[in-house]
Amino acid sequence: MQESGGSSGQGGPSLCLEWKQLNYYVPDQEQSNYSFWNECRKKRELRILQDASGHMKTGDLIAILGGSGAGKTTLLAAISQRLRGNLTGDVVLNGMAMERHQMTRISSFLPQFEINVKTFTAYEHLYFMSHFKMHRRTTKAEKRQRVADLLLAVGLRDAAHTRIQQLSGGERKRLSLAEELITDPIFLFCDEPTTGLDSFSAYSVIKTLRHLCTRRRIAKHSLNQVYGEDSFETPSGESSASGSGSKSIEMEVVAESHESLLQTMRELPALGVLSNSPNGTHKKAAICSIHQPTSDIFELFTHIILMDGGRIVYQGRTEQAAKFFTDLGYELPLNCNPADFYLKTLADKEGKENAGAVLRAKYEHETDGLYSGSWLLARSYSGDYLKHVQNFKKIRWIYQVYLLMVRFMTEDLRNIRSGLIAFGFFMITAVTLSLMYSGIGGLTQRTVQDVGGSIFMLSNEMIFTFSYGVTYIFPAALPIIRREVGEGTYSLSAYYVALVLSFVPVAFFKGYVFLSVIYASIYYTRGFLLYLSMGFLMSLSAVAAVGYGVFLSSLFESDKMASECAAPFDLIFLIFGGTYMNVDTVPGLKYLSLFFYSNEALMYKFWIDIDNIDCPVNEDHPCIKTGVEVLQQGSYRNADYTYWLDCFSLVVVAVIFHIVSFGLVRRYIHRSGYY
Amino acid sequence: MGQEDQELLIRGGSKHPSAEHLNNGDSGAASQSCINQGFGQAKNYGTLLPPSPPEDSGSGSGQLAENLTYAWHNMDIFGAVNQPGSGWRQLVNRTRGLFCNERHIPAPRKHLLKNVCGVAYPGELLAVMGSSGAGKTTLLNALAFRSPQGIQVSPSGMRLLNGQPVDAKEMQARCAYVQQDDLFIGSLTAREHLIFQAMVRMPRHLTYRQRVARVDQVIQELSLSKCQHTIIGVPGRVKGLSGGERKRLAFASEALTDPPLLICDEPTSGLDSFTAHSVVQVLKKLSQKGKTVILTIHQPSSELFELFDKILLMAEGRVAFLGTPSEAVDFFSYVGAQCPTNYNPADFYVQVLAVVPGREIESRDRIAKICDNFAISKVARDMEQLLATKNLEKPLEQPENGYTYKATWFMQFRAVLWRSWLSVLKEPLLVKVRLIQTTMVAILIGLIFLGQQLTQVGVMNINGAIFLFLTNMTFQNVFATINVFTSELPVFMREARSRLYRCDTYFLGKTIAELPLFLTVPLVFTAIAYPMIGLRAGVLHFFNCLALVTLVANVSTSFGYLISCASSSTSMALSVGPPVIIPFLLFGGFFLNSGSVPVYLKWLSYLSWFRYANEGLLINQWADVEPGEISCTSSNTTCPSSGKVILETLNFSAADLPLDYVGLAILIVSFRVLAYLALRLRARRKE
Repeated sequence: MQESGGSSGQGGPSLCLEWKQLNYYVPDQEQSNYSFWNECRKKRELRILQDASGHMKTGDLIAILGGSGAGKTTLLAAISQRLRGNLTGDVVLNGMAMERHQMTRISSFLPQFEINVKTFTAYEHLYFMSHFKMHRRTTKAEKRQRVADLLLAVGLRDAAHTRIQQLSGGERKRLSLAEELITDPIFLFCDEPTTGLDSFSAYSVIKTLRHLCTRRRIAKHSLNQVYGEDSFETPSGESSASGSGSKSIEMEVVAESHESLLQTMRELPALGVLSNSPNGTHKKAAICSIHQPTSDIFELFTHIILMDGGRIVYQGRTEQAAKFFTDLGYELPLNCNPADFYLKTLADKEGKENAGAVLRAKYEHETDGLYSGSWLLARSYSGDYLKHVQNFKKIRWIYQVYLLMVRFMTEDLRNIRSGLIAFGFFMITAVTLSLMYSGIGGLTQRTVQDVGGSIFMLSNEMIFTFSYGVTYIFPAALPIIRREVGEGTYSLSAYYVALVLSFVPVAFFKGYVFLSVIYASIYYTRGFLLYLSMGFLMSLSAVAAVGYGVFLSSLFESDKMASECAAPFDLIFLIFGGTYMNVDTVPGLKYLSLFFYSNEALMYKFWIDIDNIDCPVNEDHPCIKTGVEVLQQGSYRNADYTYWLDCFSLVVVAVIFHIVSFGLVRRYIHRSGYY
Repeated sequence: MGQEDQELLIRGGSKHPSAEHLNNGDSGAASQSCINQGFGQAKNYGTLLPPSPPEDSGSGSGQLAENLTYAWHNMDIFGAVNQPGSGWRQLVNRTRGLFCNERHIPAPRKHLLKNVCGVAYPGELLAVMGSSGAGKTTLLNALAFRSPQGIQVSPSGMRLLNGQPVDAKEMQARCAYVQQDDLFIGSLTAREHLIFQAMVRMPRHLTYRQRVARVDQVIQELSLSKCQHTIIGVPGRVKGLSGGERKRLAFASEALTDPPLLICDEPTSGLDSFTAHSVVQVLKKLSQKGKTVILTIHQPSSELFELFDKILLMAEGRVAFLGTPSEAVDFFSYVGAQCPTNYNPADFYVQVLAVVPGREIESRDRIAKICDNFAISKVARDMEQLLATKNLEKPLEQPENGYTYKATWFMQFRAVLWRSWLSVLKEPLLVKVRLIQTTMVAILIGLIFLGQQLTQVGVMNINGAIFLFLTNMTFQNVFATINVFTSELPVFMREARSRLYRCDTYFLGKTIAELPLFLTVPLVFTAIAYPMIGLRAGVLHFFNCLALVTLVANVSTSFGYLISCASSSTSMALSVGPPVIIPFLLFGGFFLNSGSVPVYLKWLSYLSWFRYANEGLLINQWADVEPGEISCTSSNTTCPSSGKVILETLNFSAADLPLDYVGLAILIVSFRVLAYLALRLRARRKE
C-alpha cells in the first residue's frame, strides 16, 4: 500500500481509484409457486456486498480471492460501475467521482465467459473492434499497427489468422484481453481470467497482466493514435512534448529486484511491444477475481483482497498477508499454496469459532479510518488523460451500421455450411410441395381447394422459416449486444438497423428461389408477371416475419422459452390467416395476423382475373364460377388496390414489430448489468 | 530460492550443482551411465511394496470382497491422426488400394502412450497427474478397457490383475469406471436413482429388501443421507444436487456392487476446492476399505495432494514418476527440480512436466531426461521383477455365473418401467406443462371457433377446426416426445453399454410408462374443444372423435420416437421432424384435395395419419347431416346442401370409417417397431 511514493516520481502522475462503502442489494427470491403472493409480500433484500472499501493505484495487480458466493464478481462489477440495480457507495478517481460512462472510458471489463464473433480470425476481430474503439480520425494504418502490436503483445501473432472458434481457451482469453486493450484503459477488471484454462495458459494470462501493471514506460507513441488529432487542441506541455518525438523511447524498468530472475526466465515473448501504448506514461492497474490460483499465479499478484460473505476480510500486499494470518495464529504450513491456505482458513467454520470474523476484526482495526475519512488523493489531478478521454469521439452512426452489416455478412459467409444446410432443408420442402401439388390441372372446383392450400403453405413456410430462424439466432446474440452496447462500443440502434438490413437480401433471395421451384410446377401457366408479384409479396412477408421472430425472442429472452411460448401466438396467427376459418367470423382480429395479409395478397393476385371455373357434373354440388367468387367465399377483399394495400400493411406490421422489439431489447440491456 | 532451481530446470541451464550431472555430458551416453549409477546404486526412489494390509476390509456386504492388485506393463497406445482433408485422402487411398491391389495403406497414427508401466495396490489411492495432453485419460481408458474408437492398444501391452492377464469381460465384473461427465435422469431423487441401479446392477438372487439395505448402506458410506430425497436436477436448468453431490452419487451407483477396483476420470473437474476435497475424501475412505482406487486429476490443491497415497506423473505419454509423494520430492530434487517452499508440489510437478508453448524443444528435452531417469530407476526394475514373479499368485475367482445382464428380463423391465413412470410423474415438462398447454390451446381454439352454426361459412370453419385438431395433436406430441426422449438417450446409451438392461426392456418400459399421458392429453383436449366449437352433437359422435384423436396422438408419439431414435441429436431430430411431417400433412385432404394427389404419390398417402384421421373425423361430423340441416340461401350456388355433398366434394366416402381405424392402428405398431429397431441399431453401433 505504501510504495506509491517511489513510483509516482518516475512514471508520470499516479492514478488512484478508490471505492468507499459499497453496498449492493438484490431482492431475496423465495421459492414459491404463486408469483402473485410474491409480489404482495414485502420484499426482503439480500445484501451481497457489505461496506466494501478499498483502493487501487496504477501499478497494482490485485487478486480478489474468496470461496464460491463470497461476492468476488459483484465487487468487481461494483467497482467498475458495470453493476445495475441497488448499489450504494462512491467510486472516485483521484478524488473525482466517476460516473458510469466515465468509468467505461477509463476502464475495461474482461468478462468470465468470452463472447466473441466466432467466425472471425483473431486479426479481423481486433481490427474490426479497433474501428469502434479508437478515435474516428484514426487512420487505417494506425489501426493496423495497433492491432499488430496487441497481437504480438498477447502472444497471438502466430495465431493471428486462425479463426476464433479454432483458438484454444487460453488464446481466446488473451484475445479478449487484447480487445480490451485497444482503448488502452488505465484500469482493467478481469472476472475469473483463469477459469477453464490449463496451468500454462492461465499463467501467461496473468503474466501479461502483471507486465501491463508493473512495468514502467517512460515514453511512447503519440497520443493521437487513439484519441485523434483534435483531442490536442489544448496541448499541455507534457503531452505535446512526448508526442513530438517521432520515435518513441521505450524503456523498461524492472520494478522490483526480487522478481527479476523468475521473470526474465519466464518472460513471454514480445511483451515489450505493449509499451507502445498511447498512455504510455501511465502504468495500468488490474484487478482480477480469481478462483483457486495455483502457486505460480498467486505469486504474480502484488495485492490480494480476501472476501468472505460479501465483506472484505483482508486487503493488502501479498507478502504481508502471511504475516497477517500468522499474527492471529494461523500458521502457513510448508509446501502449501498460500492461496489455498487462506481460503481454507476462511471456509473452516468448524475449527475455532469463525476465523473469518476474527480476521476481519483485525483488518478493520488496522485500517481504521483509512477509508472513512477524506479521499486518499485529494482533488489535485486533472491531467491530460481525463481530458483526452473527454475529447474522445466515436465513429459516426452510419459508419457503425455499415461496419456491423459487414460483420453480419462475413459471419453468414463464414457459416456458409450451416447456412447451406438450412437452405437445403428449405429447398427440400419446396421440392416436396411442388411434387405434391404437381397433380393440379385445369380450373375445377378441386383446384380452388388445392390452390388455396398451396398458397397457404407458401406463406406458412416463408413466415415460419424466417421467424424461427431468428428466434434461434437472436437470443444467443443478446449477451454480445448487451456487453458491447453497455461498453459503448456501438449504439443499439446501429446494431438493430444493421441486423434488420442484413436480413433483407436473404429474404428476397430465398423468397424468389422458393417460389420459382413451386411456380415451375404449379402455376407455370400463369406467366412471368404473376411470378414477380408473388415473389415480391413473399419476400415482404419474410421481412415481416423477421420482425415477428425478433419480437418473440426479445420478449422471452431465451430460445427455449421463446419456442415454447410462441405456440399460442403462432396458432392465433395461423387461424386468422384465413384457411382454417373464414376470417370474418371473428371481426377485426384478422388484421393482427401476418398470414392474413400474405394469404390475401397471394389469393388476390391468383384469382382476380379468372372468370371461368368448371362446374362439377353433379348439379347438387356447390359450384364457384369465377375468381372473384373464390375471394368472396374466403371473405378476402377484391378491390383494385388490395395487393398494394397488403404490401403496405406488411411493411407497417414489420415496422411495428421492430419498434416494439427494439424497445424490449433496450429495456433488457438497461435492466441487467453486463459483466 | 526454490524458484531459481525451477528456472534453471526449465532453461536447461547448468548452474545448479544438483542438475549438473544431468547436463554435464553433451554426449548422451556418458550422462546416461552417470544417471544410471546414481539411481542404481546410491538411491532407491519409489517403492513398490504394497501398503500394510487394511484393517477393516470385510465391512462390505460380503460379496466380492477380494483385494486386487492391478499392474500394467508395456502399454503402447496409438491414436488416429485427424488430418485436414484426410477423409478425401483416405477415400483416394482406399480406391487406389482397390484397383492397384494394395490393400494395406496404413492410416497415419500417433503414438499416444509410450511403454507405460505401473501398478496399483489395494488400499491405495493412486492419482494420475500431468498437464493436459500428457495422456492421463488415454491411460485410464485403456486400463478400464474402454478406449474409444480409433484408439489402438498394442498387443504387447499387458494388464494383470493379481498377476493374471485380464480381458474386457473379466474387467467389467470387477472394475467400476466413473466417467468425467455424469449422466443422470434429472427428475429422480438420489435415492430413487440408487434403488434403480441396485435393481439392475446387483446379482439376481438378492431380494428387494437386501438391495434396499445395500442402498442405505452406500448412502451412509458416501455421506449422501442429507440429500437422498433431493431431486438430482439438470445443471443449468433444474436446481438439484450440487456438483459434489452428483459426483458422490456417481460413485455410489458404482459402489453398490462393491467392486474391488475403482477408476475415476477427473472426479474433481468443475468443483470448487472444498467440494473437490470432500469428493476425494470419499475416494480415500473407499480405498482404506481395501479397494484399489485410480483417479486422474488436473490441478489438485495442496490439501488434496496430501490425500494421495501414490502419484503417477505423466508427461508426453510417458511415465515421469510413480511412487509416494514424499519419494517424489526426493526424486525431483535429485533430477534438479526442488519444489520451493510455500508452493504446491502438485502445481510444481505439473509445471516442470509441461510443454511450454514457444519453448517446445527445451521442454521436451527436460521431460525426456526426467522420464529416462525414472525408467532406469529402481522402481521400473522392481516392476519387471514383479511381473516375472507374481504370475503364480492366487488365480482370479470366476465372475458370478456369467450372465451378460445381472438382472432377469422381467426384473429389468420392472425397474425401467418404475423409473420411467417416476420420471414421467416428476418431469414438469411432460405432465404439468403439457396439460396446461393442452388446456390453454383447447380453450383458445374453442373460443375462436365458438358455437359454429351449420351455414356455408360454418361448414368451412368446422372443417378447418377439425384439421386444426389433427395438426395440433401431431406437432405437440411429436415435439414433446422428441424433447423428452432425446434428452434421456445419452443415459440410455451409457447404461446399455454398461449392460445394465436390454434394449427391448428399455423401449417397452419407457413407452408403456408414457402411455397414460398420451391418453390423457387427447381426452382433455377433445373434452374442452369439441363442445365449445359445437361439433356434431351426440355421445357416440363425441366418443368416435375422442377415439380418433387419441389414435392420432399415439401415432404421432410413435413417429416422435422413430425420429428421435433415428437421428443423432435433439436439434437434428427437431429440424428433421417438420420437413418429414409436411407431406403427410398435405395428404390429409385439407390443403390438397385427396382427388388431386398425383398418381405416383398415391402410395405415400397411405402412410399419412392425417388422411385417415381427417377422413374419419369428417365422416363422423358430416355423414348423417341431412339435406336442409345446413341453412343456405336459395340463390347461393356455392353452398353445400348436405353432409353427403361435403364429403363428396372432398373425395371421402362414408364407408371407409373402419379402414381409417385400422390404418391408424397399423401405423402406431409399425412406427414403434421401426423406432425400436433404430434404437437397437444405434446402441450396437456405438459400442
